[in-house]
Amino acid sequence: MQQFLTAILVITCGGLLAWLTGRLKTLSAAVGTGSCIGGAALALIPVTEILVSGGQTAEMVFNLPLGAATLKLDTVSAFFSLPVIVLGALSAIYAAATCHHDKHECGGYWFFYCLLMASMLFLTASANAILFLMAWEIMSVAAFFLIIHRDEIASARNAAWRFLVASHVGTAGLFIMFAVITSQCGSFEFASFIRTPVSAETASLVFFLALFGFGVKVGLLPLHVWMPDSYAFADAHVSAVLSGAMSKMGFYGLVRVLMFLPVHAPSWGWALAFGGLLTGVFALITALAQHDLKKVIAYSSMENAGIIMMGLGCAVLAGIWKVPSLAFAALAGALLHVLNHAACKGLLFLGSGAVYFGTGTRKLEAMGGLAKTMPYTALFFGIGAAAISGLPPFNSFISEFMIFLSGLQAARLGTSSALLLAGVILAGLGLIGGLAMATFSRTFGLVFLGASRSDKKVEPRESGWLARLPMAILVLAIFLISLFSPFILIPVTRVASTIAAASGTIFTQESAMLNIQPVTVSAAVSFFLALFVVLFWLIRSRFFSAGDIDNRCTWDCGFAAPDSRIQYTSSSFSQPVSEVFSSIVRPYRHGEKVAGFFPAHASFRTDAPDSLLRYLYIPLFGLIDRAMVPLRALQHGRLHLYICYLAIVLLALLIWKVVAA
Amino acid sequence: MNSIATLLALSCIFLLGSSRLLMSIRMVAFQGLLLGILPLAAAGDGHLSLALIFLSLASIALKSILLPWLLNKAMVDSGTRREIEPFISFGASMLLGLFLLAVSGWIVDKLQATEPVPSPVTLIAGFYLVFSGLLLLITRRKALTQTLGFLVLENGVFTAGLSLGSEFSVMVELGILLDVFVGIFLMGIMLFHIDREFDHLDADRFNELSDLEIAASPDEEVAE
Repeated sequence: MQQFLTAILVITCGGLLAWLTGRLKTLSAAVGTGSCIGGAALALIPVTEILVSGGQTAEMVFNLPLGAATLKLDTVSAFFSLPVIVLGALSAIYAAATCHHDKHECGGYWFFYCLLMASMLFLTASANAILFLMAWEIMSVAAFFLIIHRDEIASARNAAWRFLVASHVGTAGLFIMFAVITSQCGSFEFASFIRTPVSAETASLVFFLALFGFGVKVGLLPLHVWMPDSYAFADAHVSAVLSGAMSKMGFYGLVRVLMFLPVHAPSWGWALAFGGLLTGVFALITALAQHDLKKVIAYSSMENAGIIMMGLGCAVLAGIWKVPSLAFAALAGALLHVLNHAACKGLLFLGSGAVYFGTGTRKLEAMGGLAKTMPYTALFFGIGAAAISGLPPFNSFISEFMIFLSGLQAARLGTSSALLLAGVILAGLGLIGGLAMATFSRTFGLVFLGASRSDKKVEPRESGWLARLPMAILVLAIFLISLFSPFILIPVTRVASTIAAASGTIFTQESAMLNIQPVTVSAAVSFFLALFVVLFWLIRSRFFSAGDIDNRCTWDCGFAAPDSRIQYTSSSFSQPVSEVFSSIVRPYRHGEKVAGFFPAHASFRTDAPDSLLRYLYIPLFGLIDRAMVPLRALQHGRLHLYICYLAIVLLALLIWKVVAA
Repeated sequence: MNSIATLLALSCIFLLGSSRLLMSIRMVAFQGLLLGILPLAAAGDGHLSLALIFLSLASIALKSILLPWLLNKAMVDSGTRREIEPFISFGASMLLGLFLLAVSGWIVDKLQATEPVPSPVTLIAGFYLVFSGLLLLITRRKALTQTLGFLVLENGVFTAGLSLGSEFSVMVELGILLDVFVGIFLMGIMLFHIDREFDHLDADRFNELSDLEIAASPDEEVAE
């Protein structure tokens, strides 16, 4: 525990130092990165100790004015701090490598980055509602300042404000939730929450408030509107941390709340499962219509949140039905997916940053052919894209496979509700997997394959080795998780049993083995598949001499003088799928009709802002705004009258109190 | 003790009716002196402790010497001598002040019905100081008078606390004193800067800084 706290302290102090030395860019970056890496290394020691050896949890009690407050590092918090530690350190390296692109002074930027990382680590360790909420709030505010860093762009400011409003609305839900629990047990300590029995109605109230509050961070369907814009306008490494680590804190909170409430209700599981399904499908069909590289990745992070949520929902239901092996498959799959998603999403966001620095744009329409000029980024991004779509040799496949297994097991239970659950999971994962493949093949194809669509004749540059290093490490992590998944499942099993034990589900050895066996098989198959790919690659490079390879324009379609304009555009590639879902996505179509035999000019472009934002939030907030117009007369900026309001209220209260007495 | 409380109330009525800033500052200094004596009077002869005397001396030094001096300096530096055109005329605010005095008396009377108050006159004075401090804050244009209003308000809180005879701790009172000192000190500095930037100390025109669109009506363009 001391080590963990020292790590938090190192990161915070490093952030402060980086802020003070903000004028000297290199020094500030070195201090910031150094403290992040040092702190991460320090924190990694107790975390791995707890995860690998299991059992002993570190605890520390502080005396605050509101009573004792406990900091505790158990397997669950150690597990969820893992993405923070890894992504925090790697993104810091990436930030240091790219900070020379930045025109601004970046001292404050480093400060908030370190603060974000430190607050997330503190959040996972706090076993007290007040400490938890404090860390949660610091995390949100630090993230806000990181997103608004490019405040010269109006849309970046908008995105950041939207994030701030959304996260505070969510935090309000959390405040109410903790208030409800605390009123039941009279203490802010998590340990006493677990001990206190609550009625079924209160438990449901607490759970749905938690789902609301944490759902905002996770990107649950109607609460996700802040996500695409914020991830798009934040810098690449910030989006990597926000998506890979910060949104995972939402799952951490949700899991914690599930642990507080020993008796689960079926409605929670269904809410999670259906919420996850809708989130996943909605995210991907919207992602397919996006033209901003980072927005596509942002929507995909929402989709993965949906998958994790489906796993959690299935685990909750299985716990109620008392089917440990089903609960294990779902829960372990969801937990493993948290790690997988953190690795893949970190990689993809860092890759998108490299693309942005190389081409100077995030628009898919202006990219193409980058694989030739940025081979490393293309390779890394390709691996990340394949991994996140859940393709077999990679890590996400294994976690999705486990959730899939839980669906199959549910189907064998035979009851009608189990069949419904199986349908949701099997069909949902199938649909989500297919859409994810479409999304990422489109993204990868548009960015890296073909020829450049840009009019600018500037050659994109590959990023430096220091910026490629974190990506390479993440690729390595993906391979490690893919190949050694049976071993990685051992600590995951430990975490899953801690979570399930809180609600009375005990995993036996056989229920775990039943699920780990297929994973072992699939890992072995993946290994051989990877071996074959490498082998074929070697054969190909051995037997084809350089002269045999012809470098011609991709998609030349038999034209004599092909041109980059005949390629698929981002709109045309996704048109078949978007057309099917156009009633939900409702893309805007711009452009003129093609007329005559020899059309001189024609253009077509689609544009798909988030439909929930467009049809729900903007009208809703517009309505509230209009309703509030009369009240604006009260806010006139006259100091005297403001004091007068206060005085009148005070006097009225006093007289009321006196008369009442 | 009752006579001190009466003097406090009278000084407030004077403050409400005075347009000359110098006199107002002196009156607030006088209030500070009275407040310094008040704890000693409240404690009576037998219970004088060293800490109490220290508190009383600190209060006098701060409220009747240091802060008035600071405000005086701000006044001289800004060249503001008089409070011109308050939102409510001096006569009316004196009348309103008398009404508020009656309200305070009524409140204390009501309070006494439920719980006996050790020294009702002092409590009335305390309420009255709070109300008239607020009145000064609301009705005066100059930031300097508003600072005075804030001080009067704080004096009222101090007096009310004292009159309830609760076991007030010297440390708490000293802490409040420090708070007030820092507050007034900052206000003094701000007044100086505001005067330099805006060339006036009219609090109702500070919203020039605001980004809210407010159409200034012609009657607000009162010159010094």
